[in-house]
Amino acid sequence: MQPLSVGDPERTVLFLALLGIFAYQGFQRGLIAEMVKLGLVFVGFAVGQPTLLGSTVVNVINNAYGTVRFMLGSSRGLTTSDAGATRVQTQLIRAQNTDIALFTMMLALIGIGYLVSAKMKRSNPIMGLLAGAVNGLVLTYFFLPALPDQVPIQPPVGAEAVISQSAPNMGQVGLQIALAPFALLYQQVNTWIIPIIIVAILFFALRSIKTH
Amino acid sequence: MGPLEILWACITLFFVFFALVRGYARELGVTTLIFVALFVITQFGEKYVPAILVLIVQRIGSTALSPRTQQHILSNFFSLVFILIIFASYAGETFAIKGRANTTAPTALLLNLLVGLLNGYLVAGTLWYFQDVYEYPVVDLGLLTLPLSPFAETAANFLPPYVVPPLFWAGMVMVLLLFRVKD
Repeated sequence: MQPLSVGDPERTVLFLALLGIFAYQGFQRGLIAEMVKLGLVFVGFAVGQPTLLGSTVVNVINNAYGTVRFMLGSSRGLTTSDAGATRVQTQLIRAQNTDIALFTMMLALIGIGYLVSAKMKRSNPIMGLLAGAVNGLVLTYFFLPALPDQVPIQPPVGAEAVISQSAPNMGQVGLQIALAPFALLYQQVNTWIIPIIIVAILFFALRSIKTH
Repeated sequence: MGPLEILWACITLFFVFFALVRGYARELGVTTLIFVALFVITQFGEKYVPAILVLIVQRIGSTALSPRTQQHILSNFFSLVFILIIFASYAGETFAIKGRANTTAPTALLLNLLVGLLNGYLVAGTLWYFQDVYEYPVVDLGLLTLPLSPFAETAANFLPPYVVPPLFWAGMVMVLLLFRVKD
């Protein structure tokens, strides 16, 4: 995976806008909902990568499909005369459809995360704001590099754009995600990052003090 | 004395402990006074105190001070004033922000930690700044050996008075005072 590019102003603006939207959504939904969403985003991403969970999930689905067909007595594809043809016919997800299937599953899991989090009770909105920003960061980190370099920015052209990327080292990705806001801010505002952090801490602290 | 950054980290750690024990609402009172001290020293002190020092020396009819002696005096004077202000902010009737602080476990802990880190950075960073800007007078006392480590050289570029203009401190004091008087 290419590291998140912050040199391109269009991407930076898009990145900051997305971060703001996700942070606001996190504030509205609360911490627990955002954590659930974050978990499903990670699972969705892992399923979308054949080298992480993708191949395993496809195998499990195909095996389960074959087993169900066998148990239901639908043995059209279970003739013993041609083992290769049998294997192909009992696959629900065939090799040529693997990429698009994984991409669909990834989107479905992320969508489920959103639906579940929308139904959850709001709790701890300030931490939810932070968790929402982290969610935005994770999603943009995963998907922004898939966008084309030319402006105007277009959505990914297809499943291949995301799925074909090699699996990243998850620990390294985690560290980069954790440091990305500071790296991004430092590149954009240089030493003004210090006053910005001071203002952010004071805003966060003062906002949590109840005067009544 | 070991590397300067270790001392800096230890002071910061102390302030984190203070914040964890006292709570961030009280620590914000200390933050306010640190901002006041930083504004007064960086906006007025560094400008007028050297001139006043020269004037005093002329009045008492003494020979002119060497630049290095001036650096010693100014560094110690500003450090002492700053430490006294910090001490005053903790002693006796403290200047706390009014209101009920959040006591929910993860949020309160995070806020205590962040405000403690902020105060630690401001105090330790400013004391370091008084050494850095006056070319490390403590070296003459044998308390520090130069050159600094590469990390310390880099960190010295991020000391509070180097990266924040004096008016920012004044602005922050206004925000905190407005919040304090808000009913």
